[in-house]
Order: sequence, then structure tokens, then C-alpha cells
Amino acid sequence: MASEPVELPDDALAEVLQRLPPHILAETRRVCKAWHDAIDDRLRGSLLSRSVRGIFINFSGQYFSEFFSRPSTGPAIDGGFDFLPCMGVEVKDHCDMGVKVKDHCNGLLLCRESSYRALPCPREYVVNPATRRWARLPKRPPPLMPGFDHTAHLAFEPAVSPHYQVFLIPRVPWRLPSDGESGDDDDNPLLELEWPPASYLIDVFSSVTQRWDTTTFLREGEAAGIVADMQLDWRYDPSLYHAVYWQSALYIHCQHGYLMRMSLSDHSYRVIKLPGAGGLIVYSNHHLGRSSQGVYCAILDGSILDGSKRLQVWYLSESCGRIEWVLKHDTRLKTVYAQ
Amino acid sequence: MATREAGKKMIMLKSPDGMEFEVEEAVAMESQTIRKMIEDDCADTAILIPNINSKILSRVIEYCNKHVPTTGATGAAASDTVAPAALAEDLKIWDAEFIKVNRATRFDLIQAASYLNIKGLLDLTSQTTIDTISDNSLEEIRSFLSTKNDYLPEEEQTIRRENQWAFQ
Repeated sequence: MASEPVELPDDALAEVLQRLPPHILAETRRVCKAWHDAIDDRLRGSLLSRSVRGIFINFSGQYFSEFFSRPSTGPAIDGGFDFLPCMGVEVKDHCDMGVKVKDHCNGLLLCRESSYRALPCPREYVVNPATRRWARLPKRPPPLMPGFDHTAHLAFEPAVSPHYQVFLIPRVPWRLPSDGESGDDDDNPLLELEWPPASYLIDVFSSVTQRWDTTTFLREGEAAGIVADMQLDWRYDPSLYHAVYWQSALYIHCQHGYLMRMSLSDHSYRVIKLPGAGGLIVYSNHHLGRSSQGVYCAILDGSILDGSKRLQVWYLSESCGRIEWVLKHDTRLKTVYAQ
Repeated sequence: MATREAGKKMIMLKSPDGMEFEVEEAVAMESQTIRKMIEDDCADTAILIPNINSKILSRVIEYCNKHVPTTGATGAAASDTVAPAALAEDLKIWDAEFIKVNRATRFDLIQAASYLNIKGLLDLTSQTTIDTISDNSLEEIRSFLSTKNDYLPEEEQTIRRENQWAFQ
């Protein structure tokens, strides 16, 4: 075969390469620099197959996440996590060890060791179940707000970069830490603090630097209230309050009827009231979600008993700099439950 | 120049080396790029096709001539007498013969098909490259395509790690 170098311009090369299946396309990045650049500039979105092959479910009261998938003849995602070191046979009594999926973003999972017995310092992993690859997160830094709850959220957009970040968001706990001076909780000076704070300090792990760094997010607009407003009479279920990642912003569902939109590009954030919530609400039946179009919020309320169970789906419209909720669906679920 | 000949609208295509090709409008419109020019009324005079020499352009036109859909009752005789399945089979054999070219010509055809946006031709001309990439090791791919590995060993290692991590 004649071997004079023949090169395709990037446009034509990308046209050819985009016909390859994602895993072969990824390998092809190693052929030469020109191919790597053509693929990364033009075909990043094709590198990872986004089809859903299964779902992880955390049942309340269960220590481990369960994985459900349809029988597949193609390459299947293994939900068993048997490739994680904490699941390996070298761990003594490994049969009572498992992992719980705490968050997920575009195919990556944030997992935490879990066991029937108390673990003094459960390890955390970022896992790609499709490639069975994992990375252990370094130990979390000491909490920026001692006594507050911290929830971890993952941000990963394979179409933009193969790197990910993990955010530790401080939340108002159900019982505030005592200030140590007065025995009376009502005098706690923390109660009068604005919440969320104007300068919100957040620990962020970056897979680029491989370490935790403290980042300050500056609030634009009003706070949701003061810490005293955010207190609950009972322990809330943190699994109800997750976050979604969409176009370089993290939308975090908070306990009192609002969410925070954290812009990762300029480190600013703003408070957005949830749809249907006039002011701060104690009990939230809102569920945050994301589709290819953007951020959604589903509200399930009413009672099954009198047949008034109702499902609303709202869409967060962010066009022209205005942020508002638009009602997309409003359905009674009577017939669903009747069956 | 757009002219009329035997009731069919004709289009003039010009290659950068000065050759002119008069083709039926329907044939030229196999190219989505040219179709758009015609629909936007940018095609009154001859259309200059940049970067595609006359040798390649004549082959592209040959492909489009063969693949232009025949137009029902009053159209070409072929569709009246030959069953569609046989027609498809005939096209497949014709395609296989058409693509027996050296690599330089094939790459020129890929470029032309990409610029002119002719999906069928792009599928046909890409297939050999796709098969080569899918079925061979990196070294073999590089040698088939006469591409040099210009990575430092540690750079290639980094990409290998990225791949293992993020992509299946």
C-alpha cells in the first residue's frame, strides 16, 4: 500500500470518526495528537453513551443501594460494585460491607461505604459503573461549619471535560450545636445569622488537583431567611434533598422550600423559591430532577385516601436572564393508585 | 448557468481547475449544500465548488447520477421494470465497484462528501476507515493510515488513564 501521508481535515475526520461506537472512539484518541484534538473539540458528546441501562434505588431503612436493570445482551453495567476494594475478599467479614450511592451525575456515582455495624470513618468513592473504574476520595476536610450537616454533590459533564468535582454543602442541622456558654438554646448567636450566608464557604474536591479546597460562593440577591427560620422540630431525611447539575450550575434542593443555584463558572449563587411555596415551608414534598431540557421540580401532594393525590411538574425557565417556574403538567393520580 | 434541456432543469458546477460540469438539478441536489444554495436562490450562474478538483468532482457527480431517486411514473425507465429490491442490490454492487480506489482518492472523496453534505457517499467512503479502526490495534491503525504516533510516552499514558476512567 502506498504510504505517503494522507491527511483529512478536521471537519471530514470528525465526520468519519463520529460513526465509531463510543468506546472505540475513546481509544482512537490515542492514535495521534491531531486525532485527539479533532475528537475532543468536535465529538466530546459522542464519547460516552448516555443510554440508561439500569437504576440504583436506596430503599429507606436499607444499608446498601440496590441495582435494577433489564436483561441485556450487550455490555451491561454491573451494579454489584464487587470491583471496589471495600467489597473484596481480602476485607475480613466483607459480607456485611456494602456501598450506598449518595449522589450521581451524568453516569458517575458518589458512593459511601456502608455496613450493618457502625463504621468510624466510611470511605468515599467516585465510581464509573460503566467502566468499572473508581477513585477513592481523600478524607473530607474538617467541617467548615462545625455541628452543621454537610451533604456531598457531584458535578461531571463528560461532553465538556473528563474531570469531576465534589461539593460539600453545609446545611442547617435539625439541632444546632450549642455555643457552649449558655445552656439555653434560644440564646445561641447562630440563630440570628442570615441563611444561606452572603459568603458561603464550601469545600470542593477537584479531580484535576486531587485535593479539597475551600471555595467562596457569593450570594446574588436575598437570603432565604435566618438560621432560626431553618430549624426543624424533627430530624429531616437528607436523601429527600438532592441536587442536579445542569450547564455548569449546581441546583441544590434545601430543606425549607427553596433551592440554591450555584454557578460553578463565576462562583456566585442565588436563592430560588420552589414553585407553589409562598414563603419558607417546613415539610417539602418537592422533588428536583433534570432532563435534556433543563431543571424540573415535581410536587406530589394530597392524600391517597380521599383520591386527591396530585402530581405537578414545573420547569425552571431561565431565558433572558429571568428565572421563573413554568407549570408543565398537573395531574390527579387517583386512577394510578386505584389499580 | 441554469438552462433547460429536454424539460429538465440543468445546473452548472465548476471545479477550481476550471472544468465545468452540466448536471440535472435533481442530481446536484443530492448534495444538501448545493440544495441549500439552489433553494436560497444563490445558484443563478455556475456554482463554484471550492477545494474539489475536476477528477474528484466528476466521480462525485457519477455517484449522484447513480443514486438520484427515480421519479415515479414519468421518471426513468429503470424503476418501471426492475423491482426495488433488485434495484437496491444493483446499487450495492455498483457502490462496491465505485469505492475500489486508492486511499488518497478515498480521502478526497470523504472530504468532498463532507463539504457537499452527501450522506450516502460519506457513509460509503467512511466505511473502510471505520472498519480499519474498529478491527485493528493502534499500531496497525497508524500504519494503515501512515499516521505517526507523536505522543510522548507519558502523554499517551495520561490519555489512556482518562479513557479508562471516563469512557467505556
